[in-house]
Amino acid sequence: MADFLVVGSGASGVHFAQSMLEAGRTVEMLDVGFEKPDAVHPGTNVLDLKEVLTEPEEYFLGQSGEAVVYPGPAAKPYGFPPGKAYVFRKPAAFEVEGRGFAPLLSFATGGLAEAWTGGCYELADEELALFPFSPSDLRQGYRTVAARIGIGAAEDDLLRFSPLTAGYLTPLEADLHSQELLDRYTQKRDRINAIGAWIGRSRVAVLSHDQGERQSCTHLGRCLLGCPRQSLYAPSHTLHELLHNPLFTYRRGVLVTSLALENGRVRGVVAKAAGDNGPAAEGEIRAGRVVLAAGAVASSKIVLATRLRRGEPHPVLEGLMDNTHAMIPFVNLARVGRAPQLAHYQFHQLALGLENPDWKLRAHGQITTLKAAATHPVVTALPFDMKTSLAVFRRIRGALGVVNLWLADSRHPSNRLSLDVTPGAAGGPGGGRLILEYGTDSRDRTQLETSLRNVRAMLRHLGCLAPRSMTAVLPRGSSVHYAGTLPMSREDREYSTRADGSIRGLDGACVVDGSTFPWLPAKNITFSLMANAVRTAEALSG
Amino acid sequence: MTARGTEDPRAEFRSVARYLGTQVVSDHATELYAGMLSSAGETSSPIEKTLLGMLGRGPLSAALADSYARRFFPHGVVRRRLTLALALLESGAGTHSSYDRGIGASRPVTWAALAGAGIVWLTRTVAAFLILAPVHLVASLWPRSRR
Repeated sequence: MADFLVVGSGASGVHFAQSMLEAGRTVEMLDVGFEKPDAVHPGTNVLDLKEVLTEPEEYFLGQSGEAVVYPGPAAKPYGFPPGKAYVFRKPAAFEVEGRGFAPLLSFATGGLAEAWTGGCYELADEELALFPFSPSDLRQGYRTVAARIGIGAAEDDLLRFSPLTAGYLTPLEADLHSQELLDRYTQKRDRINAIGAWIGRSRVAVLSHDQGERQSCTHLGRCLLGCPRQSLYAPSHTLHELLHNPLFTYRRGVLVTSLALENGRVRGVVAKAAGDNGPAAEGEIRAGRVVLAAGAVASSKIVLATRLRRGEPHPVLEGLMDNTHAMIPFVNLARVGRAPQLAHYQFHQLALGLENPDWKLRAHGQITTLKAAATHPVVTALPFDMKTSLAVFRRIRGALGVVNLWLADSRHPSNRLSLDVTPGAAGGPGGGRLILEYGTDSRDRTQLETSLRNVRAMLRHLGCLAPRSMTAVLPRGSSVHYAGTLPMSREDREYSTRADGSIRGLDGACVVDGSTFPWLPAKNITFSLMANAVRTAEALSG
Repeated sequence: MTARGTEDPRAEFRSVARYLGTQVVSDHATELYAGMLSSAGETSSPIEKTLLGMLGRGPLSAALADSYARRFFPHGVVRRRLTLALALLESGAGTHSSYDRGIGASRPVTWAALAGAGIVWLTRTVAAFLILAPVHLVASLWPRSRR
């Protein structure tokens, strides 16, 4: 029996496990663990790939065209390639229904961060005020994770939003378009700062020099397809390292449905095979302590199902949070007609912060210039017929970019998770269909409109045109930063968590993923999740 | 014409490819287009069926159908089939470079090219409206007159 049974192999789970193993404790990890396909032609850049593959159409679009992005009211200007389908695959036994919320879940080895864009931002001290530990406790976690995964960062204007207290790498050389935007920002800094906007280099978990088995970025432009050099960090890289540790056991193909209780204390988990071929018998797996790291939604479902088993007829977890997410496409007029730099680091190389007198209302954004990407989702979004759109697109391609903007969120009782336990509901004896409810929220509309206006003003100062009609506020759930259902708190409230991740009311169980966050900052929280997992492991290992 | 539009999806792909700037398409891409058509959806609307039929009748006809569909059925089956064709062309070994790369040129040349594209677009849109609006009107009245 392992000292710790970790549920999930995402960013939180693997870093918790690594810290526990380094402390000499035994760890067993349970995971559905859908696997990523092997990288093809690992040294080839994204453009040449179309020439060397025998069936490039199937590689980029899928066997039945499942990766084609068709026009529609909710269509995004990009699509995930078929090679990333494993990240979003869901076992049939895990039923979920969103009401005002479109959740994106992952049961892949490495979890959702297998498809992230690598943004890593430390939380400022004031942003940690609601957490029941000292900011300095988390700083050590940041240092540990930064050393493990490698993060490029620069000391620039973003320091006012996010400190740099860990060891960082030199950032990648910026692509020409990003560098031009940064240069223009430097020239117009005063005017842009006057509207509350600050710009700097993105802080990204991508290697600018080799680290272990991972190789530095050589600008293949295959970030979205899955970096074949492993330059862009993914939790599966850490899992791969952990598999060599004799204190570590990894069990793939296991879906945990609830916690196993004995005399009111958690003694392990109830799990079943995660295969899609009908229901499988449930069984118990025991451990010294159970650590939930399946992501805020899946971990919450396990807690709800446990409460159901314990006799609560209608268990609910309140306070679900998710960042409001908007996309603001732009054309950099000075670059119209300039050839695009296609084979380059594909994701954002610039980030921005929008200041607010109330630090809880600061907004965060990332600026991505268009490099290698599928053409058809952008072309079909342009307001012309297809042929004209293509002609326009090819002339302005090197001038296109998009600002992804996120707003913070806070806990509200109406945003909640529950289980549909009516007879016949899926989920088996461990629980039913998970219901996610996110009420219509008008509270951040004003802040959203102000933020969008400021971003557009910032882009104007940078010489960019951002058509209002092309700005899209994405459906709730799009940010994929879910949090708040088992919040850390100093107050002794049932189903909140203590500073060491232990769940009040479920002795013997801890949680280390986003469900513990008592509020959700605007900036990407993945780095903070990993750092918090390290901090929690250190607290639990004594 | 069938309920799904054209009788020959392969001819439709070749026609659409020519409209989008590729004169010769591979048999492999053509078969993929035919095989993936169901993912683009279907329609029961008479005018959309008419526009679908036009996609397979050569680049000019496809251009008119696209121009009209962009205005009146931006998310409809005609645009979806054009999107599928473009996705295949930009992914194919022999065809991708006409779609997935930009065109670099001096600023005057670029703005002139954009202006030219705008004039062609306007002309095509007006022509599509003049030709297809009456057809649309008749098609929308047709079920009522049959009743």
